[in-house]
Amino acid sequence: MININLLEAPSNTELEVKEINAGMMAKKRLISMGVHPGDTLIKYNGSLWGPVLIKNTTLNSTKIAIGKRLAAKILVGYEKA
Amino acid sequence: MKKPDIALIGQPNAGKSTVFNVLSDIKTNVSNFSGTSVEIAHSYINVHGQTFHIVDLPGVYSLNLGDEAEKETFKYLVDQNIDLIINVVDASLLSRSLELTVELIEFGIPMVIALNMWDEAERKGLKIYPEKLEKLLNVPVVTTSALYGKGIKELVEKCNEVVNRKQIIPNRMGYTSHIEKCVRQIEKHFENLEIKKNGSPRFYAIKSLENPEVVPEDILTTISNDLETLRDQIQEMHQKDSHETISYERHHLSMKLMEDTSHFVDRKTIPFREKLDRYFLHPFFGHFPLLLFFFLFFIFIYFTGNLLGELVGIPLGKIPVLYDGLKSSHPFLWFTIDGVYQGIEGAVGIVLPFFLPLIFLTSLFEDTGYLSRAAFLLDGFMHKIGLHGKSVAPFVLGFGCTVPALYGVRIIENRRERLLTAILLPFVPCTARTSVILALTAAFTGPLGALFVYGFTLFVVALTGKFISVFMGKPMGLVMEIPDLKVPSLKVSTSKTWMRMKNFLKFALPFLVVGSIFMGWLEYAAVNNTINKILSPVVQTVLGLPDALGSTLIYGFFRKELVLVMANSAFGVQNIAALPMSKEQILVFIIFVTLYFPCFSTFVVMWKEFGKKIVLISSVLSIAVALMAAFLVKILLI
Repeated sequence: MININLLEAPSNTELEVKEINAGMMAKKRLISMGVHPGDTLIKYNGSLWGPVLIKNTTLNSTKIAIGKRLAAKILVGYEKA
Repeated sequence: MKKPDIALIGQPNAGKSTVFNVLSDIKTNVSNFSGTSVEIAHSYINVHGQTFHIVDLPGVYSLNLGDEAEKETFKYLVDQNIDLIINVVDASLLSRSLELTVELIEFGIPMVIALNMWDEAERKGLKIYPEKLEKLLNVPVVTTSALYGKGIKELVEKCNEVVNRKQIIPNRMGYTSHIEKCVRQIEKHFENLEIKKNGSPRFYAIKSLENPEVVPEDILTTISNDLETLRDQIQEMHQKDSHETISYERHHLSMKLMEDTSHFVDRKTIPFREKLDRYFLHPFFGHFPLLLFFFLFFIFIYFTGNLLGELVGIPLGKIPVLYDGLKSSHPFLWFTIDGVYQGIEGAVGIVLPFFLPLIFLTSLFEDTGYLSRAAFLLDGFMHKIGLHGKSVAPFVLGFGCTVPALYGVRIIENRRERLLTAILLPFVPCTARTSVILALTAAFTGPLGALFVYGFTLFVVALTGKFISVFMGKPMGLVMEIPDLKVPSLKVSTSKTWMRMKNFLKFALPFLVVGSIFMGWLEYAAVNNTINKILSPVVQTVLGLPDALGSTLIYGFFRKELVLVMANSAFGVQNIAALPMSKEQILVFIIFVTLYFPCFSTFVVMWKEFGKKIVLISSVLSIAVALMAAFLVKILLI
């Protein structure tokens, strides 16, 4: 499994959330919106300067937009194809 | 007999307000909105002869106080009398929504679950067995589809049953044994303690470990010694801090609940809405529908607003004749009555015609979920001015009226962005200022002038944002939910519009009337010349405008659109086209009027929401910005 931050992670691949290294406020927010370590996410194709768009596939949740700086603090892992 | 109090609680976008609106619709005798806050809506419904008091609390993801809305809901929950909670759950997001349900069960007030958006869940391929959920939680579960009014009668009947019997005790959701042990150890301290707030001892025990900031100070002090040790123990045993450990376990509890009560049916094709959404959210192509959206939005408001304005204007224009005779016989009385008339005319004849289509469209689009897509696409741009995508919705509202937009700022969880948005909002031309801009440009420069004013104003907003954000540190990262696309319901949007309009009138009308009476008295006292002289250095020297405009600016503080009427009377002309000013002077004047000082209502709301320091900063800043911007236009054009 390759570990990488969410910002640099590939799109349209199953990503497993490993760790959220953000501040307490942002961490609480992410957790309450349903982004937990252990869940799997899909990242959508993003633009160069906009936020990262993800969907929690464990919960089959709605899409969530995460700012780039925050996305860089979320560690995810994926299996190499 | 005391009226039972029922509170609607649910996660954002779970359809709470829709349930509330449909519930309010079945009222039979009384309905009023007595909340002190615009955000908390109250209503009364009559069920088999018994009156229930219902409140619609702002949406919360959890009881952990992330943003202002969550704080407000939590405050209501712990301080007010509540006999029953209706937990509105988005059935299509069952697992995540149940996390809040588990917390509410811990809180310990009798509850009924409205499994809302039932049809949406089925469409997503989620098959839920409500009877299983009901059994596992021991909480009555009703399936609803509030947008189409389905299941609401059953919900009311269920509430009626629970309120009048009250013997249903929800099943306790158990955490892992170590956490349970810690919780029980804290709970023991509460046995002899009288908790003055709503909420069970178990709830406060769990929260002490998970998030002590929501626990009252006096409770915390009784357990402070134990708490440190227990939190350290959890950190050591679970390799995560106690907040993360408990929310992680709750997350699993609700996932387990979902697995036990529902299953997914495989869908082979991608639904049309999902395809459409991929286009809406596309980092490049998404901008085309976005542009079209804003274009249609303003075209609709512009034309409907003008049409409504003309329709209301005709009968309103006939009223002054009725008391015209008093002008010569009782001038003071005339100015007072005319003040009342001007206040009402300003609200009904000028602001409402634009405000109405704006709130209607906003309600409609809120329900589709498109606004959050716009916020997503504009986030990159908003970052350039030190904000993020969540400020987009208040800005859109700000084009209508700054007052509701200021309340809309509450959805932003971080104080830094909230303040910055609130300080920038008064610069966004509201309908009152739009009427000044359009009327003056139509008379002097044509549509290009209006375009210039809007472009220049937005440029000033961006520049000011950039400038202030330098002093405010880095913005907090964006985390924003993008709810699924939905087909809105005309009926629900209409009733939402009606309620918002009522709230707006209730708040703004008294200020407008009192302000207008005061202005009438100023005119009566004939102090205009004195004001003009005092302001002459600014108006004439700095801005290069005739100094007779000085007093109009004072009136503009109460109501921006009055600047037009007052300018006419200052020069003694009958219509604006006759004002003795050049095209360039008109543009300088418009820019200054658009940007200077938030109006009186904005002033009051900002004071209420952010305190006097922020009002002062905002006022000084807006005058400084308006002066600089108008001066710049003067140098460029004159």
